[in-house]
Amino acid sequence: MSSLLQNALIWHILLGLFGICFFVAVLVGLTRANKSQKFLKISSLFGLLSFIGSWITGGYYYVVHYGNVVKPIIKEGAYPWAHNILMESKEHIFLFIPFLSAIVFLAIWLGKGRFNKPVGALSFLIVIFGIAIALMGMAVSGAVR
Amino acid sequence: MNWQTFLVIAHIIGTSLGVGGVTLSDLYFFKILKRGKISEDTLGLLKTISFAIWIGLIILTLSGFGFLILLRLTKPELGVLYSPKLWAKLGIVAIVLFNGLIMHWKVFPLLESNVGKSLNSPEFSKKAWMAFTTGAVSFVSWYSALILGAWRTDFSFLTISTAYLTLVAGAIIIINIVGYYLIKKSAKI
Amino acid sequence: MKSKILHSFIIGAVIAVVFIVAITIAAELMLPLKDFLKINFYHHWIGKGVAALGIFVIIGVLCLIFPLGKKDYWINFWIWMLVIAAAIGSLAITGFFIYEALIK
Repeated sequence: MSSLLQNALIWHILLGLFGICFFVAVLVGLTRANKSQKFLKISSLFGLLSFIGSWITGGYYYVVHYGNVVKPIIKEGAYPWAHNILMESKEHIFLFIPFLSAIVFLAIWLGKGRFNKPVGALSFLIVIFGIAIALMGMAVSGAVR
Repeated sequence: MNWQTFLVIAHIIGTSLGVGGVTLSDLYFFKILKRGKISEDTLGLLKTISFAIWIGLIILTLSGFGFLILLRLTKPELGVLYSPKLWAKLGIVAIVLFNGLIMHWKVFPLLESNVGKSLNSPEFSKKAWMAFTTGAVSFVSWYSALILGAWRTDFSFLTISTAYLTLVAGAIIIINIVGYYLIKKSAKI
Repeated sequence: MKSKILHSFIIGAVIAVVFIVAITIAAELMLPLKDFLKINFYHHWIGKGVAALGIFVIIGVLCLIFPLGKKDYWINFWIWMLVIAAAIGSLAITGFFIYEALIK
């Protein structure tokens, strides 16, 4: 794997984790009695940017390297379901996340705290998706032997 | 210093903040129950400790995934990514996260609404089980993650999960009994 | 204006999410569609992403032009629709791939 691809994989994972952390921060911020709009705005902005970054770096790694090199290893190995189920689900559910994050960002920046409940539910869903995708990614990586 | 060493240090720092924070927080909460009242200052201290625990969780998670990235890039043949112990730890960390969110959503607002009031009031007593339960889950989970991280063991995922859930159930029962006893005792003082 | 922007792009996001689910399943069942995406966008996944982004932006802009209810009720409603669409969509995608891999 070239250094560029290694960095793409590393930053895909790290930015994805940062995104999850920022949306956890949004959730914690929304539970407060005295909600800090500044805190919510910054968390949602950085969460969105992190997920977009993870989308781009992950997409590059996936398109350039995974399909041609990693996927055949997994499909011929002991855990073909790691690609057929986990990777296939992961790569498509991951497409949702930038749109969901963008709406949380817009609702916080433009909504002036009027939509906290549904935004909280949406942020919670983003965190669930993020964690599920991270764990699926781990299982896919573990199948590369 | 290589990446492995850096990640080990970071992981230890994250664990220390979490385990230390949860221990202090639970001990301090029992002290508050004994006293029978919670002030703005004591609530502020609990929130500060909670913030330190969150920082610990973030550092722990990032460094933990750092290990996995390092293994994926250097030694994927080791099969560590499919270790039952690792998946048990991940499950416990996820529980720590969701438990923390529930604490912020339900427990801190409960404490905030009872600042300056007696904790043996019906209003607090009716919902105190949420504080005791989330405290118990947090305490057992952090210590379980610490022990699993340090203990070189071949236990299966089922064995580890069963042991963990048993400890959590036991802690929830014990801490609720102790908590309600302290509330009643503070009423008599 | 801020409410209208928010309202418009929430609708765009809901339709984008539904589109992603539909094209994911359709492309697996109709290989010519997958090939079409591959030929035009270099990779089917890029094609799905670009198409979803296009739908999000186009629907968002179209909704800005046309009159929409300004009440907070409708914005709340559409955010909840987005939550439901994404939750059901993710289950549909995962269920489909489980079915394809294990049952079919």
